[in-house]
Amino acid sequence: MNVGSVNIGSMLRRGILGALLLYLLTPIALTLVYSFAKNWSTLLPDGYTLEAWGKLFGDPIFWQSTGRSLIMAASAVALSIFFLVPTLFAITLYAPKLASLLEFFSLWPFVFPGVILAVGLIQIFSNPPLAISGTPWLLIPAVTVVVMPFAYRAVSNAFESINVRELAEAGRSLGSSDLQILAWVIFPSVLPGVLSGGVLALSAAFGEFSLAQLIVGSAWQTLPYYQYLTNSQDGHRSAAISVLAFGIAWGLGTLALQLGRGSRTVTAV
Amino acid sequence: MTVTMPASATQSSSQPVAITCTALSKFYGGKPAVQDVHLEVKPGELLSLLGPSGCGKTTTLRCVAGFEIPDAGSIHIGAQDVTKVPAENRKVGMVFQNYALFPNLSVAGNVGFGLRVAGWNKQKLEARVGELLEIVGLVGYDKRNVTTLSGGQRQRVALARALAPNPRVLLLDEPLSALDAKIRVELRTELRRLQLTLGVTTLLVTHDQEEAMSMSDRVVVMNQGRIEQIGTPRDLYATPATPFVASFVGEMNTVTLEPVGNSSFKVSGQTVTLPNLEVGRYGVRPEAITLEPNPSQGLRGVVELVTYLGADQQVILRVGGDTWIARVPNDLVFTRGQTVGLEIAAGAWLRLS
Repeated sequence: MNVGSVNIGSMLRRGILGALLLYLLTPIALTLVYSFAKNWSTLLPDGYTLEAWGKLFGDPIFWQSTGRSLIMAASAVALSIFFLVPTLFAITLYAPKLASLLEFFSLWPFVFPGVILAVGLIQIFSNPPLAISGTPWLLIPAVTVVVMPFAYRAVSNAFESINVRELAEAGRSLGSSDLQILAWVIFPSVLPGVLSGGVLALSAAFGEFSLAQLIVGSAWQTLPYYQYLTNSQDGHRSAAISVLAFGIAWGLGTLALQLGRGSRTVTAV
Repeated sequence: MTVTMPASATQSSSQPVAITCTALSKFYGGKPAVQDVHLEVKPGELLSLLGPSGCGKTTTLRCVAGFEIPDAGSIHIGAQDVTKVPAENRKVGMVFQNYALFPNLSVAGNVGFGLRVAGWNKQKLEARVGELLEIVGLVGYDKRNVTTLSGGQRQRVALARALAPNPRVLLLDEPLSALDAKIRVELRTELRRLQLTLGVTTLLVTHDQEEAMSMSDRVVVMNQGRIEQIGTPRDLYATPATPFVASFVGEMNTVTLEPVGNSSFKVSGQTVTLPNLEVGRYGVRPEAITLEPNPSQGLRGVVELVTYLGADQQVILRVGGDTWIARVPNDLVFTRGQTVGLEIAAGAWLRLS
């Protein structure tokens, strides 16, 4: 191989990488600029202002929606972890052959659009005895189902980093029940790994729109729904929310990486 | 490092009890893993289950621990039939090959786990944990995270954890296999000394014959789910009952004596006179062979490879169509291609039935 071809190869690589970055970052950059823009009809905005951001942060509804989104996302992730950890523990110990079946089921929310789930849920839960449609009591479990594939990955990866079966056997030989082992050993051991993987689920739950719109809509506004309403009134403010949401996702991602790194150093050696 | 024994440690252990397996069998998908195993670990004894992987030694141990339910036969610990007793109610201490320490707990948390489960109060628990850490030589490590310890230290913690609740018997599943050679030999001696001091009945599973021979009162050699021989290390080495034991325990040259005539046999293609022997399979230990540089009669071989081993040397010889191994003193120098005589005392021919 000669020097020339190496240079062409590395230039090509850089070119493709640059184009990809440009493709990914341009919309975000322009959205950011738009959130500060006064009037934008020519190539560059007429001027810059903090008006959209001021309005956004001054709106109590915005804070309420953000709070609700956070509560919903955190509850959904907590619920999915709460269900998945004991389930995977039980499967690992008593029925390891079912693991692949569970993994298959966990992917269903990816296959079926949220709309199907939402419509079905609304039909069932609009009438007594459980008329909870339009309330977060239905939204949170529904979102829990939707984030299950993400949460399943997180929990199953964390389980792979420890030898659940052997730890359970060690516990049993010391006289403890499987439930005690789950609570005292398995749960605390997998939690850092689960949380790091769970951040992805949190992010997905935080941005969940179709379920929120159909199940609760304006009755219990979440941030994506707030943005949806804002978009028709004020594009600049909507842009500000987009940038903010991206920032939050970025922050969560970084957090996930750090948590992951932390848990790896603990489980390694 | 020496084993220090707090006075209370030995006081608190109860009278040692036996482990008895009777006609134990276990099948996996119709294939026998353990077949008709009868064995008794006497009170206070260290018995090893020795054999290649897949020989059924681990399955036997797991049946005793309660992690596997045998398909046939029974297991007694002391006078109690534990065949169907769940593992958590058997009061056995178990040490695993890969330590199986609880990664979220400190050293003290691990050692005290069984006591916490049993509902010991904090003060008594801490005292007992301190005692155990002293026994295994890890004083001052109580707050340490177990993931920061070396392999040898981890296995000490695992041992302390298994011993803390005063188990009736101790089960060791390849406890030294994951360790470096030097640590392994160190911990082997230490483990045996500790077992003798505490007098706890111990069942050890290992594939390492040196480990089994050096640590055990008696060794059970297993092969393909069955027991080949039970005996003291000395018995197994001096009088192996089967060709498998002969070749698995220590090194052995195995040959068949074919009839030629009056006290004469064909061995490795050569005719030799061997009074008092019969036709059949025999084994000869490498160290029972003397090499004679100027052979007059008997077996002759050609030196193929000489390996200097410090204390002695190993000589690999081609004798007829067979390869023989001899282990001889260093004072004679042999060269590749040299023809030498193999002198074997009459008592060194071990009959392999």
